[in-house]
Amino acid sequence: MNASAISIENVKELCDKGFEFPEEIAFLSNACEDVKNNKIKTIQELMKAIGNLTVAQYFKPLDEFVKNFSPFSLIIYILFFIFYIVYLFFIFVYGKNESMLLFFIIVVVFLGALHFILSEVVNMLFFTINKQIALLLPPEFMNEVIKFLYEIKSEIVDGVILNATLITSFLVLLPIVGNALYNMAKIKMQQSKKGN
Amino acid sequence: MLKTVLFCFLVIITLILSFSAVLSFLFLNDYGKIKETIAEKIASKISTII
Repeated sequence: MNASAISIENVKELCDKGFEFPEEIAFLSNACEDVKNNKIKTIQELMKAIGNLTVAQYFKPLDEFVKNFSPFSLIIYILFFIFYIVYLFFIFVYGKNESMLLFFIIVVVFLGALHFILSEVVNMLFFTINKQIALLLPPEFMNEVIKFLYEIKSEIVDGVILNATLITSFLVLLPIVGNALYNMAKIKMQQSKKGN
Repeated sequence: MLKTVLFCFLVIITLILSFSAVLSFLFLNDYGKIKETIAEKIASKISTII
């Protein structure tokens, strides 16, 4: 059966009759209410509505987590802001004679380690989800679901982690590189003055 | 020497805080978009199944 074999009229008729959809397409019953109220008029809208309903259903625990995490994230932002100001102050005021190369190496090594640890944790998480799904789903759906999860992991989760690493490296390394360049320029200027 | 060690600690703490702040900002900011993308992916998967 392909998508064109199902029309909105058919779905609406079946919903009106209170038809119980077979297990393989049970998700169609989720959108019955919207089909009956003419909120969904095309197959594309139907598919999108089913996608939204599925996400709304399975993302409930994560929604709750995001709601509870929001005030906590504000504390992290404030702490980061305070420490970043102190960091800039120390780099540009007290750190004039310190080795910027040492700080550069520390930042690169720690950032690499953070990125690696987080990626490994995500990999482990997805591995556990795959194992759980293997216990719940019949084998014929397994490949599709694992492919789907892999797509989400590589396109969304890895993307967020990579962006966080890049932005953090920019935030933390920029003052170090800036200070090193400033020091080098100052030394060169002093040397050229002595030369004259 | 002590000053350098203190600097190293400051760099590490700032790095960890910065990473956490950026990660949580990106996650909270893109959460709606992530849900939408997953819903679209599910929709396209369903249309291939039926």
